[in-house]
Amino acid sequence: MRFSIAFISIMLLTSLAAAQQRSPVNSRADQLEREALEKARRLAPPQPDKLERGIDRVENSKVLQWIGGGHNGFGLHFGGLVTGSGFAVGPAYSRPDLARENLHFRMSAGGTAKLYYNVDALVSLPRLFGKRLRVDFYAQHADSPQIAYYGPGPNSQKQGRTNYRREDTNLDFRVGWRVHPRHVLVGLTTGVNLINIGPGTSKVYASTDRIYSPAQTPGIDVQSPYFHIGPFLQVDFRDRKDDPHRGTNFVTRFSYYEDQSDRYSFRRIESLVEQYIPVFNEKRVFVLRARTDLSYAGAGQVVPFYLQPTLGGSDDLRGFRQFRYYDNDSLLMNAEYRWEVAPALDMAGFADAGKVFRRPWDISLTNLQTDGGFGFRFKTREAVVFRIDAGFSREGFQIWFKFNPPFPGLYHAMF
Amino acid sequence: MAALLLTEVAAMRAERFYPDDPILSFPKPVAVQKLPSRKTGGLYDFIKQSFSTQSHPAVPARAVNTLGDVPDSEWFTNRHGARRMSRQELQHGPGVDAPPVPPFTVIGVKTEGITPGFQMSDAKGRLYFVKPDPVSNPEMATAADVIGARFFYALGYYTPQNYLVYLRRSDLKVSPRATVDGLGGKKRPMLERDLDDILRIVPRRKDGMYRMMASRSAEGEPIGPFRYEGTRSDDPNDTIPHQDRRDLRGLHVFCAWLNHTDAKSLNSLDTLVEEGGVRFVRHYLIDFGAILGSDSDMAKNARFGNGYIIPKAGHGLTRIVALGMDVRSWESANYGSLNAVGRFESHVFDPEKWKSNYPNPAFLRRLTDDEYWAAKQVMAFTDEDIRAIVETGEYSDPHAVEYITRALIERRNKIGRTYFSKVLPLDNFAVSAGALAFDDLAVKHGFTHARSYRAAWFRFDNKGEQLTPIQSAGSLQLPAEALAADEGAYYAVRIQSDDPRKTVTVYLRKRSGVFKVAGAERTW
Repeated sequence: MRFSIAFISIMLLTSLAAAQQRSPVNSRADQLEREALEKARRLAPPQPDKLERGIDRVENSKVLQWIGGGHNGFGLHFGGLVTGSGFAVGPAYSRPDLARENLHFRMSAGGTAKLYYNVDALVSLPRLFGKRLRVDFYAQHADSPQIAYYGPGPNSQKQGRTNYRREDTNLDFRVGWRVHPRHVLVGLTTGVNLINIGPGTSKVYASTDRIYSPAQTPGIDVQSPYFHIGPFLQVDFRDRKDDPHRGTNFVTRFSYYEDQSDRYSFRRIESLVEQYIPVFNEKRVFVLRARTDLSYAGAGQVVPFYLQPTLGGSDDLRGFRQFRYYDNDSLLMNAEYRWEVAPALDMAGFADAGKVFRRPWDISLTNLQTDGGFGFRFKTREAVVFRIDAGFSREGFQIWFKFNPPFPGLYHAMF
Repeated sequence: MAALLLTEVAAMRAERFYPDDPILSFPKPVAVQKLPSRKTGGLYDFIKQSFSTQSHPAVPARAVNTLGDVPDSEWFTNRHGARRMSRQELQHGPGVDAPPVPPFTVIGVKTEGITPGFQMSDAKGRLYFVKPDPVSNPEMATAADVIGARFFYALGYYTPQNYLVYLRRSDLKVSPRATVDGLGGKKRPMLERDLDDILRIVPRRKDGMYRMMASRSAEGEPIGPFRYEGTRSDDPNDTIPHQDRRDLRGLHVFCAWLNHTDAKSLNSLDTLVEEGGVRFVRHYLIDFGAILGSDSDMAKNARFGNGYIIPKAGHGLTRIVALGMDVRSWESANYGSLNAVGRFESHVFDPEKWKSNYPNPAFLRRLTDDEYWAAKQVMAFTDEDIRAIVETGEYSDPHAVEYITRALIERRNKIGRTYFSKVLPLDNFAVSAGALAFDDLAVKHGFTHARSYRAAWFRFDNKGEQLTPIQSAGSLQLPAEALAADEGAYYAVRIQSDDPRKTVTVYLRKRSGVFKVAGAERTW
């Protein structure tokens, strides 16, 4: 019965349309009206095509939220461990919505196949005084069982590679005040660090304590808790923070590290200056960067090797292995020439130079370690999200895959 | 049944010209019922168009009359190009409303696009979408949005009413019903603090006020953006594939003129409107924050307008291998130094090479006659017209008005010179004193000196579409045979000048004893 009614309806519609079609077309308006009426008989809801359905499915799925760490609740956390530890992944729990979004809480854990791991938690008050004041409490425990060590000073040998285990337990308090909403930030960091040093677990390289004496590696035999405190200042006139094309950035930080055993206390001044110089309407950018870490130990005090500045790695001397050079002080200079291949891809040619040295007054531009290389920078509209840098030096070449901009600042967690 | 339909279709096409040709407007739309809102994902559109391997055959444009002009419709309405709008009309733009009136009630934050913003209603209950300038470029994006709405409206498109508003924080109050997406990803009531967060990253004037662009919500019920290809399968009036519409193909030229590099589906809007008891779909262009030298939240990337976001593989490889030493003209161009302007110029601008941020299927299908039609519309704007609209950007620095006006004049002239040279640009045909009269637009605008024309006359069979040459003196005077012809007779005259490939054939129809123009066709 249902079939009969449907059949009759279709026949009726078809007959009506056919009758209308048979009447002569007398005008352009008539012709256009008929086209609309003809379509009116076969309307259908818009259907997304295969590509659209696929993209919708991905965008609406929870997978992306999980990969991104999630807005609220559980997600996945990638990276965050020391370079060279391997691919790190682990769970994360994030609550940016506490106390009407005045309190942020984040906790994550990550591990790698090389048995490195990191567990940390951050509690932030980001909205104080109209977002001008931010307070962070940060707690971390990390285990890095195979940190490379090549011996002290600038004359260490590549063949002298050893490894040691480092366990960090940190409790930090940071407060930052935006003196100018965009350009000037001052603040203070303080906290307690418990660092344990032990034999490295690498089967390829010897353990550091078996090759280097405590005189060469102060603090390898005994560690004690540290209290640290110090102010910092940033004057930032870059156009964009995560993919700058013009402007200057200057950061300096003073830290006092007090060793509870009164053998390894010291002060440190870290300074960084960057200059971005655009040419050809920002399609090419020259970047100049200089950084010094200078340590001052009092009489009878030394800087433990595990808190010495290092050079070598994806963010400084890119043609050298990670942590290739250790000493009390360091000087680093980088120059990059970047050119835009496409809006989402920059290429860069770079040259790095730097050295470590024993005493601050030994700072000079002689006997620098140098390297050069090139890189690809994959970008969103406002940030470099992934880069591949290949660095070449007298010690060979290194290829770095990094999910951060080329020159990270001193304060990753703040603002 | 299929055979019957084919016969009927053939019958529909039996005459080249109908008595009402050339039509000036489409017939009244067929009534539609409620239509669901259809979204177009920005990522989907970008991927689909950027990596499309479709060819673009040279298919003549549709949605045109027999003269090649675009009749009025719910897509396009002939305005300044058909009848000069007054300075006041140009500056007022679309709609009959006055600017928004404080106090304002914020009813939500802006969720689409890249710039921050919010939705508010004014003292009269009218809804607006409000956007600020980036801190780096005060006045740039808000002016672009206001200027763009007026230009595209005068060109013939439906655009929202965009206004500049100057407001204090105290003029704004958050509605208790307003909601926002909280940091936790869930909706929550909007707080005054959320508004402060937006205003914190907005440039503030010396007098303490904020300058914003308030875009009145378009008339009717929004049902999502239109796409630049295909048709909407549930709209009976949408019968012509969008990529074949002259008003969308020609939009390429308008976008090139105004540097509207972000001409994509997401920056359009269909609304369901009701007039005279009939509901139908009206098609809007929206969001002009990325025209001229603005890219909404920053000055425009110099590449935009000169290349796609995803370059062709060969081009990208060249850039890599050349180590950036291959400096393009647009990279070294002088874009001025006015923050309120952003990055906009006219010296290296080439309308033939201009590109939207990613391929637009209607733009890619454009043919020479589409460009010619659009160039006619652009050339309808005098220097004073352009200045009048640019002044609506209310730039505090008069140099900005001067710079943009001069650049638009130079870009307009490049468009006219380019596209009027690709065809024989004869237009405004009429029979006067027994002869065919017309304007040569290239001569009229000073792009070429006065030139001579050769004319060949034909008898035209409207049903058989046959042209039969007749004896004539090669002049524009109607032949004696035509003057003595019966009522309803058709004649055609083919005109050419220096270049034999470029011709215009004008079709004349005798009615009530006089010849009127029935249509025209061009070769190039």
